[in-house]
Amino acid sequence: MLARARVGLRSPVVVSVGLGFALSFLVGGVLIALVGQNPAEALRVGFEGAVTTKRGLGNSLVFATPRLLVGLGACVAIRSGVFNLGGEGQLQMGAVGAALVAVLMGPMVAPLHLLLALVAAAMFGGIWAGVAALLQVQRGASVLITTLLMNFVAIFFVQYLVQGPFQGETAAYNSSERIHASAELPVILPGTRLHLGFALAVAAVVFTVVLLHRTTLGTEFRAAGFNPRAALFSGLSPRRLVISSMFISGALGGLAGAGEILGVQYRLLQGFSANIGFEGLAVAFLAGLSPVATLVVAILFGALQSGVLQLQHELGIPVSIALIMEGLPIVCLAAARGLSLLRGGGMGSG
Amino acid sequence: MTELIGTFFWASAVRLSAPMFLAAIGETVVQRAGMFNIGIEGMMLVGAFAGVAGSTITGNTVAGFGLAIVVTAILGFLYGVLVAGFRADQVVTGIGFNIVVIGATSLLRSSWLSERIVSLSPGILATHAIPGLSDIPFVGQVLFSQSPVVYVAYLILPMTSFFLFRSRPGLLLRAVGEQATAADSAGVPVVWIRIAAMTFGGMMAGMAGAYLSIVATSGVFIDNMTLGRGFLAIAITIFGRWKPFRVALAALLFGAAEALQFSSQAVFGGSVSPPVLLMIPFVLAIIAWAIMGRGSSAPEDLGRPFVRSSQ
Repeated sequence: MLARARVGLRSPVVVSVGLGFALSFLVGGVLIALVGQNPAEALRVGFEGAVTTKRGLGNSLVFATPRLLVGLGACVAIRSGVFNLGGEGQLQMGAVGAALVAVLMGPMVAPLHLLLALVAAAMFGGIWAGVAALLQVQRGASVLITTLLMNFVAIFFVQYLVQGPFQGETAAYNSSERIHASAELPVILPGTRLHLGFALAVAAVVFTVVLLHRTTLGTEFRAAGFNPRAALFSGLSPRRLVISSMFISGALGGLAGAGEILGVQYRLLQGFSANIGFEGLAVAFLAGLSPVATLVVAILFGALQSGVLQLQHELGIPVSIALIMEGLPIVCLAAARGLSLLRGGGMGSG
Repeated sequence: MTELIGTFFWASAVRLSAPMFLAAIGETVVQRAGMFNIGIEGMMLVGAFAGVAGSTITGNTVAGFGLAIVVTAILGFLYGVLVAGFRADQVVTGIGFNIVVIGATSLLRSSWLSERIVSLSPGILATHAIPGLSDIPFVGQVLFSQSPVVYVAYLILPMTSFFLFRSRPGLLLRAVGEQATAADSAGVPVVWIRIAAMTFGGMMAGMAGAYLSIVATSGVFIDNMTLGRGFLAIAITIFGRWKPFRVALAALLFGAAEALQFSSQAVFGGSVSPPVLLMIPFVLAIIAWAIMGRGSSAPEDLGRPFVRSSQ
């Protein structure tokens, strides 16, 4: 076990992520064989659905967008030492904010409609996360648990809205009225579904990097995350840092929800996020909480999603395979990092 | 409001609190040993699936229940090896594990289980009134006209309490959770005790899940059907201050919150949207968590991986 630990310590994150994904493709191949399909053929079809066709590539980036935004939110919070596991809830609340503005406000705000919807989403997500932050600083209730629980409050809140007061009159399924065209995120690559949200998410990567590494606030965030006691003694206010990092983190999660409503679904509907918030968290963990690596892993996850979707269309293979392939490398990576703790390295969670 | 003191309401509350209690009592032992099991949500989901799958294969719900416990015991053991043995980050492992489980159970359901499922009836696991005891007014209807799984839970409660506070292994387990390094210096096998605790936590989560799918929803497995109940169990553990009897009371409170859905008409004087009723236990948990916070009675080394300093 010690010998393996040394290997774990010396190998950089890139290698363990690579090994993790190699393992998940292996497992994916075995699963595909078990459901009675040819793995090689599936790999070809999946690749076509995710990378080699223009449409497929667009889909991959569409799938990557919310996972990237939630992942960036996780980077900001967790690197500040605040365990925000509420990406799913913040995404749901962001979707509510975006949908309220996009459906209820008419075209009279047309030139600013999209912008208003995005701001509302960021505010809703940020405030939702801020509640958890307040409960921690005021009441000592760790965000780790409150955010997990608040995810479900938000999920049921969206269900309540679209089954009740916000249900559209013409809507067949539990969903709201269609949003106004003036609030849509426009398609940026003709012939695909790729919308402006992806460009915003990439801009958010730059924002996150600048925030964490080029601003005083970001330096304080990282100091608090790296050594909370030392940060406290050097005069930083933990209350302010917890609340501001959670607000920014939640706002990014809220934007992820906005992207889904304004760029993909065009209405608020029940179950629009099948676990995206948790996947976004997983993306950030796999990326070692580095914003740039989060971009790369989010695109990988997006490609996996759209590849597996293609497998479902063409070969009838269940999409749930994608979740297995996404979760496995994270568990492996956590174990590899843990083993390297033996020699004092690794990312401790505290 | 008279509904709220009726036997029907409280019998439902006990019935619905059973899975919360089972998962939380397992989590109590896990946290007493110094770990958080974020993967509890996934372990419950595995239990729910394995329970239905085992019942379908064997045609016997007790065998299905047994399968759920065996499978989640193995998973709990492996999970324990990861977080206690390999010191894998407890949060990261849990999040990844839950994602894998949602995918794996959904895959197995759609590609395998859905083709062979016949209508399952709970059989022996259905409600069986205990002769004599069930004749006691109120208490008999509430406590002793339940599924045998609930009666097993009644036994698990004092046994766990005795184990934790009156037995030597229980003392060692608490020592591992309070001061892992000190326990290690005294020759206590820290890692193995944590793995054993996680195995128990897995079994209890598995029982909770199997109860949900076999008893509460009569043999139907629905994708992601635990819907956050595992995370609620973590909150119940903390709300119950890591003490088994208090945990049981907390679980009963949450069972009552869930039971409101059967009495909502009478209690709220009108129909309440189902999602709002589903939301209530979570809101309750957040309020409880905010009122109690993380007090000083938490195991001191909770969530800290154990690293032997001189290697």
